[in-house]
Amino acid sequence: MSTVELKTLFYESRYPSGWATVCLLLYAPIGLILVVLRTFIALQALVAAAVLPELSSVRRFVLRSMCVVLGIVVKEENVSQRNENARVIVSNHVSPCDHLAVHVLSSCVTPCTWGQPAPIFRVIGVKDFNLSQGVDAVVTKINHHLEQYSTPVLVLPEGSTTSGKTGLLKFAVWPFRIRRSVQPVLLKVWRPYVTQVAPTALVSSFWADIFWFLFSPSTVFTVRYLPVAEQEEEETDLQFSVRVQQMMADALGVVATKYTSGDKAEYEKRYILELNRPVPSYSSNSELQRMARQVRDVLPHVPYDVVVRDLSRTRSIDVTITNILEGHISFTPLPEPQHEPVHVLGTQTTDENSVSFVAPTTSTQGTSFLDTSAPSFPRSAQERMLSFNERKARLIENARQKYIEKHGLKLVGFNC
Amino acid sequence: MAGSALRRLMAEYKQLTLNPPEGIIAGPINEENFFEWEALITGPEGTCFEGGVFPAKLIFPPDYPLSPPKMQFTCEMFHPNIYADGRVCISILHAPGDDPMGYESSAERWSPVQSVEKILLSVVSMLAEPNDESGANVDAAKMWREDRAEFNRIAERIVRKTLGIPTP
Repeated sequence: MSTVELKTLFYESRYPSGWATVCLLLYAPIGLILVVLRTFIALQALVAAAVLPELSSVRRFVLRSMCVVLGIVVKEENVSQRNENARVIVSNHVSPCDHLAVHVLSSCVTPCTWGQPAPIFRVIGVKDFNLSQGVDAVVTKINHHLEQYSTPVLVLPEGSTTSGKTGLLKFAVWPFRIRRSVQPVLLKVWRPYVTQVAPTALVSSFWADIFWFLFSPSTVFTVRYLPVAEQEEEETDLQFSVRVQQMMADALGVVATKYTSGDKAEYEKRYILELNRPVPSYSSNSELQRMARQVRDVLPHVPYDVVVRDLSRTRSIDVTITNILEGHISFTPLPEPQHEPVHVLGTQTTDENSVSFVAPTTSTQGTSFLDTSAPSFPRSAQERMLSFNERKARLIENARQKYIEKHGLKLVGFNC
Repeated sequence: MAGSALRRLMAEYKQLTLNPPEGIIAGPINEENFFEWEALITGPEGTCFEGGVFPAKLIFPPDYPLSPPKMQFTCEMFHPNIYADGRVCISILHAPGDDPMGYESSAERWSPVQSVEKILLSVVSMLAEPNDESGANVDAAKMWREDRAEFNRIAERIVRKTLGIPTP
C-alpha cells in the first residue's frame, strides 16, 4: 500500500524551476502590489464581518469577498454526484484554503483542527468542536450540530496537506463514525503559469501560504464530487475509512499511503533540523580532520584525539606541532608500529635480502670519550652552531686520542 | 609544510644535542639552511671500523618527515653498502615502494615515525655488519666475502684518515 516514500508526498520547495522562475520574477512587482491591495480589502471585509451579526447572509458575503480577495475561483465537476443527504463531506487536503473553497459551494462548516479558531475563521465557517477533548466528544458534538442545522460538515481526514500529486495520507477514523454515509470530494489546485507557486510546501507557515494566495492573480480550485460512500453492515469504521481513502486515491490517480499526519510532522521536524545544521561548522570539522592528518603525518606518535583537541583551539597546524614538540601538551605516545631496538649484532640472518638494521646498544666502555651531548640547547643559532662545531671537534679529538692510546706506542711518539 | 619540516628538524636537533647516542653527533652545518646537516659517526667497537669518526652529509627534503633525507659520507669509504661516491644504501632511507635495488624488504622503510637518530644508529649497525648481498659497492662486497684481511686493512687506512693519523 505505502510503496511511495513519505517525502515524495509533499512539495519540498514551492517555487517553480526553469522559465517559470523568470516569469515569476517578472510578475513579482504586480504581485506585490496585489498583495498590498488585497490585504487592505481583506481587513475591511473582516472588520465588517466582525461588526455585523452572525447571519448566513453575512457569512456568504464574507466568504465571497474572501474568495475574491484571495483570488480563489471554484469550479465544480460531477455535480450530479452531489447528494444533499450526505451530511459529511470528506475531502483531500492540498492547501490551507481548502475549506474556503468547499464552504463557498455548500456553506458547510469545518471542525477546527488547530485548537481555538480565531474569530475570522469562525466567520468563514470554521467551528470549534473541541477536538482536544477526544474523538467521542467531537463526534457527539458534530452529530448535535448536524441535527440543529441543515448545512453539512466538511472534514479533511488527512489532517495535513499534501501535494495531491503522489499520495494521500492515512485518513483519521473519527470522521467516518459521524454518519454511515460520506460524500467524498476531490480537490485540485491550479495557478496560472506566471505564478506557478505550489499552494503549500513542507514546513511552510499558514501565513506564507496565504501570502502566495494574495500574490497570485488567481488560484483555481476544482471540486470534483465522487459518488456517496455508504458504510456496509459488516464494515468497521476503520475499514470504511480505508475504503474511502482507496476510492479517493484511485479517482485522483495517486497512492493511498499508511503515513499519518503525525509522520509528516515528524518528517518536517527532521527536515528543519537538517536545514538548520550549521554548514560552516560541518565544513570546519572536515577541515579540522584534514589538519589533524597533516599533523599526524609529522608526528605520528601523537594520539589523534590529542591532535584534534589542540587543533580546535589553535586552528593552525604549525602552532599545534610547536605545542606538541615543545611539550606544552601532555599525552601518552602511541606505541610504534615497528619493533623496539634489540640487542643486535649478529642477530641478522644472512638470507635476509635487505640492509635492514636495528639500533645497537652502545657499549659502556669509554663512554666519556664518545659522549657528544651538550649541557643545554642554546637559544640563539649562533651559540648552537658554536657548540655544534666544538663538540664535533671534541669528538674527533677524543676518538683520535683513544686511537693513539690504543695503538699509540706504534705510532705517535715515534712518528713525530 | 616547510614550516612543519623545520619545526620537526629543530626538535630532532634539540633531542640529538641534549641526548645523543654515544659517538654520534648531528646537526645543521649552518642554520641558515636547516635542511642540510652534517653528522659524525664513530665506528663501532670490535669491528674493522672501530675508532674512526666518519663525517656524512644529510640532505632533508622540504616535505620531511614525509619523505626521507638523503645521506652521503663525505670521507672516503669502502663498504659493501656504501656507493663509491659515499651515498648510503640502506632500507630506512627509502620510502616503501621506492626500492632502487629491488631487494629491500619493507621491514624497516622510511616513514615519519623514523628519525635522524634511527637512521644514524642503523648506519652504525651497517658499519658493523655489512650486508654483502647488496651491490652498492660490488668490489667491497666481494672483498668482504673473500679477502677479509685486505678489507680490514683498507678499513684501518680509512679510519686513520678520518682521524688525521698517517697510515703506517
